[in-house]
Amino acid sequence: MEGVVANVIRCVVFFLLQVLFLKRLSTGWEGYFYWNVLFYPLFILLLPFRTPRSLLLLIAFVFGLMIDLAYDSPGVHASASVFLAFMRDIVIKLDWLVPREGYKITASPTIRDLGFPWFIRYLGILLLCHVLFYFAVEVFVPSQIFEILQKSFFTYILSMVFILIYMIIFRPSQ
Amino acid sequence: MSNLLKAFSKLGGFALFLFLEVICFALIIRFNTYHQQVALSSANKYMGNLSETVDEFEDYLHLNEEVERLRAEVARLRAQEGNSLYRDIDTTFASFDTLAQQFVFIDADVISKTFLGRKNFITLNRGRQHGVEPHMGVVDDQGIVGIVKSASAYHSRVMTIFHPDTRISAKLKGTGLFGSLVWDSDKADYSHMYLRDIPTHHKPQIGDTILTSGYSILFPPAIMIGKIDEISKKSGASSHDIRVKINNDLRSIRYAYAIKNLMKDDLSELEEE
Repeated sequence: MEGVVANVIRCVVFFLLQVLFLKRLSTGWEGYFYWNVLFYPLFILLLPFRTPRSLLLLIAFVFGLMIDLAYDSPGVHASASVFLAFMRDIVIKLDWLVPREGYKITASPTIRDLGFPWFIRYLGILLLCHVLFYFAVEVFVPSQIFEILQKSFFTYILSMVFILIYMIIFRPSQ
Repeated sequence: MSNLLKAFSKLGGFALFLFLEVICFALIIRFNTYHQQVALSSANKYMGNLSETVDEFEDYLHLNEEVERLRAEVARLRAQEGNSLYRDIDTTFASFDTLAQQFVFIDADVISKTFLGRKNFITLNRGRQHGVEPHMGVVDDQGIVGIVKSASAYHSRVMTIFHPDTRISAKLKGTGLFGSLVWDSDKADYSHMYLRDIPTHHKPQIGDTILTSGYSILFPPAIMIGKIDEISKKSGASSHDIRVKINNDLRSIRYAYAIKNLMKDDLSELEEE
């Protein structure tokens, strides 16, 4: 129960942080959106392991749509979030990511529970999935692969920095 | 059983994932102007490509008709070229009607051909019904083919230039020099002929163009035959031994035009007298 409350609060806080503050940072120059900060995926990454898979996908979908409403781009963030949620289940089962003794049933995907090296790998892969998918959908033209990669590169690095700062400062437990 | 359940739940998750993504993309394309435009334009592009391909395929289906039509057109146009016309210059009184049709072209498919031995013939699918008669010249789009030897109602047999009896009256482009073009049947070389009777005091060059002379009733003047590629001279002979590279390749010939000389009777009248 405590976890649910924490996640609902996190959902609201991350949403507001993303759309009120980080959205304004995501401008480049001369009208060219060079870099974004995508912080909100952390909400999906921090949902507990015991969240059922379909619930996870639905939460990601709804949360992505909320972000989309603020960004005025219906579907773009939602599709990336759903993809992230889908990939999360695959990634946490990867052999080199599963801890030697397996996941505890009550564990949360946090630095506190599973350690910094585990978290940075987990975050690194999934954020990359999210960012690449997001820009692929945003640009929407496969032939502009260079633009997709360029935007993804800058956004990926900035988002990593922001998320790691948050994780290190606040050290959420669930 | 548990494996089955696991597999099913896995697949269920995947199905839900696909379902949600479909909804997302529907939203994206429905509500984002930019994405809508991209989707529409690429749909147009691919549909455009598709219909273009279908169109090309259809063109292939009509290719035979189209070729027939074009060949009829070519025959008509070649009959209008300057060398098919008889220039009827009347010096007594002025008249605008100074050109008379001398040559017309009858287009034909080559339906059989053999290039093996000394005497090479091809068969055309046009005969007397279409105006083809023995002793007509035959050309294709790049050069000369031969002379009609016999014609039935619907087919005709053409003695090609690669035949020991062939004599083509040919001239050197840009000069008045002319000779007869023959084929050396002993060599069985289907790309060269020999131009005889060019006197040795003239100096033709390698690469000079050989055209029909127009002195025979078979061919209009100035139809391309080929280019000189070797000049030699036997000691004591009074004429050059000129080898001519034939411009067209008769072994790959698919269609030809028989040339009808409308003034043939007029000319033969003279000879009879």
